[in-house]
Amino acid sequence: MSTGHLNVQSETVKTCCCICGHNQCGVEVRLENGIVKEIRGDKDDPVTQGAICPKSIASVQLLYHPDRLKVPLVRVGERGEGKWREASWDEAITIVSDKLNRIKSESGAEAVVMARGTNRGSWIRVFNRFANLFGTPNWTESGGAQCFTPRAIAQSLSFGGNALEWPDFAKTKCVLVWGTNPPATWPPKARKLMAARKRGAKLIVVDPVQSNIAAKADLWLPVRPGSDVALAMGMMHVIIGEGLYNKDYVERYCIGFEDLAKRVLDYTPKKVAEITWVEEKLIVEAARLYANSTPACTEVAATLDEVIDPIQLSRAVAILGCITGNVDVEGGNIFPHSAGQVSIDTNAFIMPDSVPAELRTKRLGGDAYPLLSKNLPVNYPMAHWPTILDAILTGKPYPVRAILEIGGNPWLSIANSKRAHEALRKVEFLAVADLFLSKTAQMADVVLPASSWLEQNGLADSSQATYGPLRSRQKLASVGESVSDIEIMIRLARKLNLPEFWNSEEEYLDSLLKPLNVTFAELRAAGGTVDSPMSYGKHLREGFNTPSGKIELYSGRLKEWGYDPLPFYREPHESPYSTPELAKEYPFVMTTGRRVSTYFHTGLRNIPALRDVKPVPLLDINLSTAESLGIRDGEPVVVETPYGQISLTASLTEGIHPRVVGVPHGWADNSNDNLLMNNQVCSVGIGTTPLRGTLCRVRSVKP
Amino acid sequence: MKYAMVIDLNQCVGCDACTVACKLGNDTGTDIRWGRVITEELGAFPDVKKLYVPILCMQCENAECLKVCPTKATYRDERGLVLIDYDKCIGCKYCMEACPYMARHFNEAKQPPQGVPVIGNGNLRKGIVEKCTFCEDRLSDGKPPRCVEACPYDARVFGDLEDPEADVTKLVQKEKPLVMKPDGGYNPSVYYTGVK
Amino acid sequence: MQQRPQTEWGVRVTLDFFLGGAGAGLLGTYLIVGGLDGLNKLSLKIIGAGGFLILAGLLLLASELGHPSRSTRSFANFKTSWMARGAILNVVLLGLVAVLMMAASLGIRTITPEIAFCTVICSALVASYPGFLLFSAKDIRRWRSPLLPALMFCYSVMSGLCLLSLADNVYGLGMSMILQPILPIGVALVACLLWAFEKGDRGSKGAEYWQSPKAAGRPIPVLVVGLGLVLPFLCYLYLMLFGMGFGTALIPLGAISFLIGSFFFRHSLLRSASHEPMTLLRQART
Repeated sequence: MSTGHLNVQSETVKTCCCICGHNQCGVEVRLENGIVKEIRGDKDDPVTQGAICPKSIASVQLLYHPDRLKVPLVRVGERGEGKWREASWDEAITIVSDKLNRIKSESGAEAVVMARGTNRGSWIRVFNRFANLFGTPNWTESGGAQCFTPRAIAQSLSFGGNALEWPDFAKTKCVLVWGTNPPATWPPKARKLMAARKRGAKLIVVDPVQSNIAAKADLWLPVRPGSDVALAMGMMHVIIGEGLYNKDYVERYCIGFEDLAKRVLDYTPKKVAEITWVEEKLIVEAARLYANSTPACTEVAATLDEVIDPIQLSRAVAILGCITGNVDVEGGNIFPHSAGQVSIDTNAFIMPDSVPAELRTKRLGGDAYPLLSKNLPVNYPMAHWPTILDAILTGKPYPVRAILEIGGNPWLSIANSKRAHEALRKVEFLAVADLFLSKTAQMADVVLPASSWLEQNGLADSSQATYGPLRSRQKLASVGESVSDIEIMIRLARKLNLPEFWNSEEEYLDSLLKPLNVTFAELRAAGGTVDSPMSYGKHLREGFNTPSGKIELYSGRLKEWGYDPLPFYREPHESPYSTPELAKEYPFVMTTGRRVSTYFHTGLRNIPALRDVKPVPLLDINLSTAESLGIRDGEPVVVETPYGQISLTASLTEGIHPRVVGVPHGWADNSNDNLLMNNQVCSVGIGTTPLRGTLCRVRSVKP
Repeated sequence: MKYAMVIDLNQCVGCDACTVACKLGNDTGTDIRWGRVITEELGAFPDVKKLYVPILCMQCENAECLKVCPTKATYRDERGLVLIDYDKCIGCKYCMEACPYMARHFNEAKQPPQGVPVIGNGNLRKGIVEKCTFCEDRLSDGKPPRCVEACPYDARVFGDLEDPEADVTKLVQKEKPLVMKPDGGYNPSVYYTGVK
Repeated sequence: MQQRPQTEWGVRVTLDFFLGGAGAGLLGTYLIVGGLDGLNKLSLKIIGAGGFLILAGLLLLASELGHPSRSTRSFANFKTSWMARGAILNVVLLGLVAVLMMAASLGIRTITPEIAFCTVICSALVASYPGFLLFSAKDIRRWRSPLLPALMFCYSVMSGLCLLSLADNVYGLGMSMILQPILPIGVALVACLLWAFEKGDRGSKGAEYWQSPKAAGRPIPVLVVGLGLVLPFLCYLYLMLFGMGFGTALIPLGAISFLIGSFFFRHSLLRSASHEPMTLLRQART
């Protein structure tokens, strides 16, 4: 179709963005003569309704970026020297598979670690299958114990599914946002949230920093980083103590209420206020507002996972919704459902039994962190990154000789960068798939060029944000010889002779759509969407996916495995109260990893339009505190912990406690916040490296 | 014709989708953001009111930049837009001193930070002052400015104030919105509602 | 970004204001003090020096422009723009300088009163127009003093007088009798105006900068007041009271220190200026 302009073939295609992989926002892409020109939100998308973020809009610059990897690279010279030679795909794949096979035959498949970044759509489960078929028990991800996994376990234990991920904004009267900032990271949810608010729904936000969404809240609870469990317990105390809980719901659908009621007696608002630094009357007001709003929903994200006690925290926040009768009801939190396509979140799909039983017990981290690394009914067991680093550096419990890293950047993204750098330098073989020569890729022996979302076909079936209708994504462009991550794995699987892997991406997508009697091509031709209506109350009627069939406020499973069956608060391992001597030298409580709308983890700093909006990493610091330290807005500062120091730029705000600072993540070199983190103290049972609620000090670096 | 914009600050969450859509669509270079989002805070912790405020050229009816421009490069057209003739601009930056909204930007073809390439043709406008034009290139096609279209929270409404049926007109009459720096007598064409 | 110092105009604009002002001041004061009784070889030098300073300032200003080659367009908007007016005034003054220099070099001895009058008026306008130009930037509170054009004028005239005193000292123009009382009075007048200007600047970010140099990190007030006003005043006061004595050193000392102060005054004026904060919350509550 041509416009009025001379010789310009202009077309607009609807597709789904996958720049962050979680939201899959429906977008309209305008092309001229086959060149992508503009990306905007698709207001007609049944799920996202026009939501979009700066990263998606700027993906045009990602697509045609001059530094995009176009062909596979093989290292010549020393690791990290930066000398490469170009290779054909065949050669590169052969090098990788030969090396992995040799290591497997010499040292066992467990000597090969398969690592990935965060969720980017369904290929993360393809990745799981790939790793399982290869036979290594040691797959892991940069997020892992710090992202989604802990709260998925907590939700599974509590009510047998990921209801916390699915607030039903459309019908809700109150939204409790806990440790997430949807406008920066979840535009479709933020859009629905803002619409609910416009209709009169109340908004309560728990966040140490007055974030974008906190600025819109009716109540903002600036909790001390690391003390959230106490806050949740305090709210429970008020809700139960004042009889504001949903008695009928609790009686019919929950077990363990009496034990819970006894547990929360201690958490008086006065005591909780001292612990959390949130005003007593605010705690009470928030609890009352939440409990009296019927229905109310809860919106959470990775912050719940990044603390020293993630399972406690997720359980506590989940329980708030349970005792108020807001799970599996309209306007509360509902369970994910699909349009009927093959589910990728099943053992049938990822085939964990392909790993020999004796190797599964050798999974790195299994002994110390069974909730993460042992096979349990409530998890996808994965290896523990800090333990992997130890294995590389010390050879204990056994050596790790290779890392295949797809779409992750552990040089920057995992705690204790100093140790990570040592390990990545030392490991015998490192192969990386990425769009750019990331910091990790620069250390690799083989680099495989991956493609962006505009260059991929796919299904938008991220289980976290699709509210029903299944949507899809279409390949609109091609850059050099780069291919999608799934295609990379298909090529590797072919060379590695892995059985039960697909022969092509098209075959893979068609296989997922089989129950719907449509191929991927047909789906796209018909508009790209398969409808799927919302459903409520299924588990209220048929029982929850827990051992008792009910919501387990008291978790028998946790007790069985040796953990406390009820949530409880314990002071973080490093805090003004647990380590007062350390706090004298490092007086600030630090929360790291604050998100901004222009970046996604360690990526996109090289995209001009995005870098222009947020050119430097900012430290959130209280105005009065900054004044007392002689720091002015926009000036350079150094943040220091016992483990390292980094350089940031001060951003003064009143929206943060005078003794708390906020540090961003994902920046490289001497602004990398993981240089400040320790990975030797990890959460009980799950192995989380705590990233929020540690101590630091700040100083100006003006001459 | 008098184009105007009403921005609901109750809806603006400061996500910067507008800022980036503007940069992409208008091809602006490093450190030049024709539209941007600033923050305003009132109070002290923990009683803080925080507002995200999109700022762009206000297309003032009584524009200071127009008055001070020595070459008449800055002019007003029949749509009520304040525009710059890039061929006449000498880059003296007097307009930047005069603009109360810091909405004008001198293009010095700045180099981006290390590792970031120069993408686009923004640097071709080196040596002149540039600014938001309400995406005047799109208006004749009936399309609103890019920032209006990009906003995921429907915070912006755009239209012709001389059209009594237009949403902007009704909003301006009904909501009695605020403008930035009303005491200057600039008569800006960008209004703000939802300021509490 | 709530409030930020202006960063658009840098040292070249300062120099244009300074050199242009000094040159215009020199021209005007020479014509008045020297009397209009005649041009001679020395006139050529002095008028030429004045014209050179103005031209140098203009060229520096042009080099600050994004497109210096388009400078001639600058005259277009004289109806409302002080920069256009300033451009015209500078060019006209240079034209008058050229005429005067041509006359002097051709041996013409007398200047017609019309030309002299025009030159003096034009010099006065060139000396003060930067004040009007800055004043017209409505959003920069520091520049919104009606004293600013007067202050610019006086600084320029005084700079001109300092240069004239130097010329008088070097070439023996015979103006010392007139200059001796005028110089300290001039410095005192400038000091009073500056004081009044600062007093009138309530609450602008610039005032804060000026009043707490440590916060700003620059020793500007010391240069402007100490070196630029106190020292010359003392020098000229001494000369007025005690005659030459070892005054031959005091003349250049006084002149140069005042000129340095004059330069840094303009520099600080530009550096300390700030756009006013943009606020809606505070607006909504008042």
